[in-house]
Amino acid sequence: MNLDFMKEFHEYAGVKTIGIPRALHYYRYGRMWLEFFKALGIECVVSEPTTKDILSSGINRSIDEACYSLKVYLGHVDSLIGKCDAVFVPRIAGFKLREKFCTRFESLYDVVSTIFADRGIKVVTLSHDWRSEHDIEDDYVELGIKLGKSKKEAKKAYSQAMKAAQQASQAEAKEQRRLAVSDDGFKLLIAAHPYIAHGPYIGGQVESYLNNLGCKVLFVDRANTRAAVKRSQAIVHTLPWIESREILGTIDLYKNKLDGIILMSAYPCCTDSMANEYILRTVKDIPILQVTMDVQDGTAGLETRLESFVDIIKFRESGGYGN
Amino acid sequence: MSKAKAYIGIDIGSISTKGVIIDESKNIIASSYLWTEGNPVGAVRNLLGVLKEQFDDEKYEIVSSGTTGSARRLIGAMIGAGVVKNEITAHAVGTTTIHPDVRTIFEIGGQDSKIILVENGIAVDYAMNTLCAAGTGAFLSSQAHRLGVEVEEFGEIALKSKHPTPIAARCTVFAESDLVHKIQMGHSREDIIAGLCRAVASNYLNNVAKGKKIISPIVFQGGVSKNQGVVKAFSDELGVPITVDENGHLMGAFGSAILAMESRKEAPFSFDVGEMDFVTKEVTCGKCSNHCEIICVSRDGVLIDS
Repeated sequence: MNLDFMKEFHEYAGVKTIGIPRALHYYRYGRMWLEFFKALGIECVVSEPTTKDILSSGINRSIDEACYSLKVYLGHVDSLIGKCDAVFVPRIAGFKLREKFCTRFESLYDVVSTIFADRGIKVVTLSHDWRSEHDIEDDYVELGIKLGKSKKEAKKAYSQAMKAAQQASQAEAKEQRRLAVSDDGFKLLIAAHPYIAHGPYIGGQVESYLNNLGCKVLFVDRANTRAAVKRSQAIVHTLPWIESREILGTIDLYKNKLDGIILMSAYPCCTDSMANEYILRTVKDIPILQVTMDVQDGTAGLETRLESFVDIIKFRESGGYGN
Repeated sequence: MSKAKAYIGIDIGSISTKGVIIDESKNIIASSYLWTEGNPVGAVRNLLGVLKEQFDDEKYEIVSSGTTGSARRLIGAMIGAGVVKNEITAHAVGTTTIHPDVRTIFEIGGQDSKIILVENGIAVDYAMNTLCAAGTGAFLSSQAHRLGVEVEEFGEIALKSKHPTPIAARCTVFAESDLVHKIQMGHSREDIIAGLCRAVASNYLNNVAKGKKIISPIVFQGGVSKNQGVVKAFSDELGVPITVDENGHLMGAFGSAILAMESRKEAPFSFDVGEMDFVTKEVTCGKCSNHCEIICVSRDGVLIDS
């Protein structure tokens, strides 16, 4: 009997260790992926937090016009070569027509496969977008089967991973809710994509600097993102991107509880260039600082901006200088 | 007899270093302004020397100090400053003290420019030039050099012009090529210089002040405010008078001294810090692959900050 067609099903069989780039969707789904692969008995290697070496290898690998975040991603992929049997590069492009991710996520698998074609890496993927007629669960199950597991095993791994990831994010959300409703403390929302807000090179610097200034920092992805997306639909109909909707909706849900908003972006970003402009023009009655970071080393300008923003709000709230 | 209290503020910018000493009624009792020349520690040392000569140490005693400007942390560590504050807050505090009714502050310095909006006596919004240095002092200096005049004469020459030459103001590179073209076409020098001043003003209004509501009274500060041509260009463009304070260049240092006074943090201050041996050493940390640059500041061989 010819069993060649089985190879199709188990095309990733033999992958024992899988590399996960600590960039882009890692900050959204990383926890889930780690649990999923663990449940399937596959070892995960997560790349180190972004360093200068990772950034510069990413810059070397990408075209000039690519955005900062994609350059970082490519650097992370590069750093995993030789440390795993395959690199996991999912293509999670969105869920609905007006709940998409940036096109970078749609093209990610093809971009990585092409750019690293000369390095002979194996890329493991999962593909889901708003045209998919099934739930993303089916794509994870399919991935599990491709990795040589049974459908049952894959289903179990998915539900375990989903549960663990949900528990962890609910704990974070609970902690943030406690912070948000408490009356004391100077509260700022970092309004940004998760990979910008939590990536060490950009958001990490801003977060630690704000903490040093004694501010309490809230994040969009630790708010109730489903409620935020829903709220955003009442504000704007046409906005295509889910993360922009989460940012916009969270601002609206939180705005009475905040002292200010840091609208943060990495240059260049196509979704932010439109969505942030919309936010700046329509969100009133709350101070907003727009911080656009480029691939640069100096932090003096950033510190001056953050410090004076915090000063301005504090002086305004206390009613003048010397109070 | 106990001495009256005095407060010192130092503003260490990229191009110039400013120092002010005030008494308890916020009167300036000593001030100085000199070039940083790429050496903030040396500049502050010289500055303290000049201030010491003007300062009556029998009548006053400095009880608190503040620093601002891009080298505020370094110098703050050096003099043991009680308050280290960003330049936006320092400028706003200084300016609103002297001009309580001010609504808009323009500031154009050596390599950056800012706009600060004031409401009810406090800063409520600001913007800074970010990636582009067009229209700052450095741009004017290099164009003055090209035209063979001193940048200090710019204002006076510009005021003589009857028909300022239009110069593309969007970007330094285009402004410069436009300028060369206009010179070769035979435009007179004063017209070109007046055109350049206009370019600086409209560049500022189109970039830094973009989208901000500019409300009079307007105070214009920073090195470029000494240029009468630019002041006139601003008031022509906006149709309102522009106030330029003779102490405008000192506002950051002045504000910093006031912040030191209001902090009520008193700490001993000595002019002698200027004579101590300060060494700043750049160390590249090799503990991870980021190779962060760490600046270690030591006083008389003892590490005081990094």
